[in-house]
Amino acid sequence: MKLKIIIWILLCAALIHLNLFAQEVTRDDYLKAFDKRVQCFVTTYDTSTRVSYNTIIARYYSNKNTALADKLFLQLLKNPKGAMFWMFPNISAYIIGKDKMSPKVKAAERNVWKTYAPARGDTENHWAMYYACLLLATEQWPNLPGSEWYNGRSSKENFDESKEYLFEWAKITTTIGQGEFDSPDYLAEYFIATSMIAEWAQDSEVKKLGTMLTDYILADFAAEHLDQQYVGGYSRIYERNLMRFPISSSSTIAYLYFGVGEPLKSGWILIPAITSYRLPEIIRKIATDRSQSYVHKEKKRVRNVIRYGDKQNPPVYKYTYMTKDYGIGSLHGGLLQPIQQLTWSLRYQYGKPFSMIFGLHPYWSVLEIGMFFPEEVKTSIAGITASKTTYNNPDKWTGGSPCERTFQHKNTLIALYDIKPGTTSEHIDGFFPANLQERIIDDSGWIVCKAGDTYVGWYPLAPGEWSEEFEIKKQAFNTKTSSKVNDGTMELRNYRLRSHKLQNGYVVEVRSKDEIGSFKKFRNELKSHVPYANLKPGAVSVSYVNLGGDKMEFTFPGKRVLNGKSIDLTDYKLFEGPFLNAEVGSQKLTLTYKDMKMLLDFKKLERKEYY
Amino acid sequence: MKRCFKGVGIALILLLLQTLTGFSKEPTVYVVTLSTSYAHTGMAIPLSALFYQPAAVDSNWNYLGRPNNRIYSLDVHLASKGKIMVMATHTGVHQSFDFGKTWKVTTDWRMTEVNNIKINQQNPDLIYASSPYGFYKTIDGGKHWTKHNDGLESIDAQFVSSIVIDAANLNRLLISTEDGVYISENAGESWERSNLSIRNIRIIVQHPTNPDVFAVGTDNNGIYFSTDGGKVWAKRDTGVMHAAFYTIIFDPNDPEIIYAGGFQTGVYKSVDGGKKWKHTFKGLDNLDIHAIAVTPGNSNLVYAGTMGNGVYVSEDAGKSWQYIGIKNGFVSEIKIIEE
Repeated sequence: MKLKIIIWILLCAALIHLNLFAQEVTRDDYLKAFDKRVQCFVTTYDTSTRVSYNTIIARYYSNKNTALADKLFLQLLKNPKGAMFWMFPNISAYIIGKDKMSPKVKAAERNVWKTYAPARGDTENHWAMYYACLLLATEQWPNLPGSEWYNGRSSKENFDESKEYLFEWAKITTTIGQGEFDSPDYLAEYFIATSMIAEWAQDSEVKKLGTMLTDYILADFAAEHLDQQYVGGYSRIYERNLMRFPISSSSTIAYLYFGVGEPLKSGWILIPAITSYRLPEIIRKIATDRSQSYVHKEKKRVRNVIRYGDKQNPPVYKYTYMTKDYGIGSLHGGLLQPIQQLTWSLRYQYGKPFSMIFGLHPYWSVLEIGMFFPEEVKTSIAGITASKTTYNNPDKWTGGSPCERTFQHKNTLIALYDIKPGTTSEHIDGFFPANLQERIIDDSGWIVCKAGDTYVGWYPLAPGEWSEEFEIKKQAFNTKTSSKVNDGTMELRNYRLRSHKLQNGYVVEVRSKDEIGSFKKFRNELKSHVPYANLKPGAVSVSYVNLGGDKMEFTFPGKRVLNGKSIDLTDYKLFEGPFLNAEVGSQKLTLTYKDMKMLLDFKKLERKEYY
Repeated sequence: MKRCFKGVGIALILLLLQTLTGFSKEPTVYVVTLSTSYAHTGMAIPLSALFYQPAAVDSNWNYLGRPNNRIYSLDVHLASKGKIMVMATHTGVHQSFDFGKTWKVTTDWRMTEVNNIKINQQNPDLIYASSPYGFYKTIDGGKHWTKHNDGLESIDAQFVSSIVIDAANLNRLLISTEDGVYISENAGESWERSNLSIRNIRIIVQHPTNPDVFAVGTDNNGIYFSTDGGKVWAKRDTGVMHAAFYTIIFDPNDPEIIYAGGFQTGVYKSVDGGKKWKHTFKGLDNLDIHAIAVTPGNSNLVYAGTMGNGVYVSEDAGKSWQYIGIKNGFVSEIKIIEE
């Protein structure tokens, strides 16, 4: 009996090792399971009586008490609020329910598009949603004069403008890269816009574009996905979501579409979930097969720079290394997106949701705001902090900095900082979660951490000090800067490593148990790998031979040399890796997984799958 | 001198036109805002808006709509008695052809964050607009808009913040940009940088009766004047304690009197053509000033728009101020039109 159990355990272990469990899911099984997940998801809303568009949409969709849906819809139509965040659930509710709703609701809905002017917003996701929704609305009420629309433009004028913008956005995205890229929080907004037009656009070109764009943004996520987590550098993330990744809607997308992780029900995903869009099998494979480690590189673009810059859309270079246990990724550094940028992060499987380590220079300035926002720069900080409350907080955990640059080679990352006196802030910070199994300050200078099967070494180039940060009901505070006293309700969340030296940096080494063996071995090997740094103002540099024997030389801001060969970031393609490949300017994305292939050709508006 | 006569001539023609058309009633104060707490029917949320009221000390404002648009600037065609109105907003150019009753967005997605707009008063089909992406014009009343950045080479030069149509030569335009002042001699087709060495210009205005005189407000360097049509510039800052100025207004009744406001400035006033300035802020709850207007025919009645606290009025030519509404309004421009 014992022998049988041992054999059974060994067999299971072998199967897991070969990743056969993940691959044995057939397409039919996946689709059935997907439908179940969606049904469970929809039930959350179609049984609700809460006054919300999600309740209305789900009830019309499920045909459950549509009279209640009518009532709630009328209630919301009396007092429309919001911009494109109002438009997308509103027009979705109408399209889904128009054959079930009363003439009174229909009339009220028509009237609201005549009288209520939703704002267009100022970010890329705003515009994608705004024009997707406006286009769908014009198709619902074609041939109306301008007097019947909130903006005075006729149905045709609004349709033409919307279609033109959506194609233009697709063109720039597939030519020089997405501007508001790789955001765990804002992925959903794009997904909403693209899946809505894929499902409901009557114009065949727009419909096709919608499907292809949906494939495109989900493939982009899939290549940097690790068990519901978006890995690496982000254009935008909210601090609370950074700390608790399941809050980000991308985690719900991973659960619903990739079929992994814990059940999540972000309301943002309800509309895409009830469309007929089904994730192509190749994207699911890319998202879930981590049997081989790989480097994935991307080129994106900086949000529109409107002053204090040389170019409107400089490139962003992104480098990510993925394994089955962890993923580490970085943007090349500098100010690439205002306010919510995260330049680099390591994410791993252990200790969720605090399953990450990262560092930053918590920078803020009127210069940054002026670069990206049109209002008066000197008065704008107050406006920004009204909605992004941590923006000018020197303890914040998100934000890019002109004083920060990175150099990554596989699982080794170097970050350098050259901060001028008087810059906000005059320190750099490192985030280490409290749930690490080990956090050892080694005599060699390395901080050596263990998080399950992932081992992390962090070598600070200048001394720092540790502080503890706690949470009470998920509200964070720092014990050094707060007078709060532990009354037993607060929980230690993380350690902050802060260094006040203005010329600064660190080296991060990451290895898994599979890659290096024991944690002890990892720690011992680090001892003989010490970086050599020059921390003089204007000449910050480091030379380091990593655990793999590769020599990395990095001089702030942009001289990167690997094994004697200069790295030219301008060589980056839009996508380059084992799964996704796209040349700059091509408007084509090729997806590859084993013998599967998919081509998205936006120039020809062609979508081909080769299985 | 010749330019001066031209300017006075145009002003007289406009006056004659107004008299002939009977278009001469109590002036109307127009206020545009980026946002407010104004509760329009059914919309108890912050709104951008166009408000108006007769020039008086009154806190009752009439609402002319355009919520959710972040309105930066307004212009009115005087000869049509206000029938034609245009607004620069973050969603583009909004135009009304019926005294503001209905509006149409006449621009598409290519024109966004439009921050200033000027109608050629002799030809209302010719309208100029600016944005952080450059300079635009329409010659057919808004049916088609074209971008004209020839000469505005850098990102900063393309960030245009205000426009002046030279009253002495309507084909001559001056614009303020993040790179300095640029001048066009061909109705905005192409541009050349003026000699002003200072950058980050936020506002440019022209003297109402002497078209050789221009003034600019800068983001970091106070106020500069030119007395030769924009060729040579000199700082005039005696008494000025602040650096960032977003609005400068010549009193139309006595252009030697000038008001200016900006970041944390309260209201500055000069009574000698900008040579010396005096700082006044009595009664102002918010010192960030983005708009000032003086009532034609009544120099004592002055309006100031704050960034976040609505509109203030002074009945004593700027000595003291009182709040007259538009709660929490980020006022971007105030215009007083004689009707």
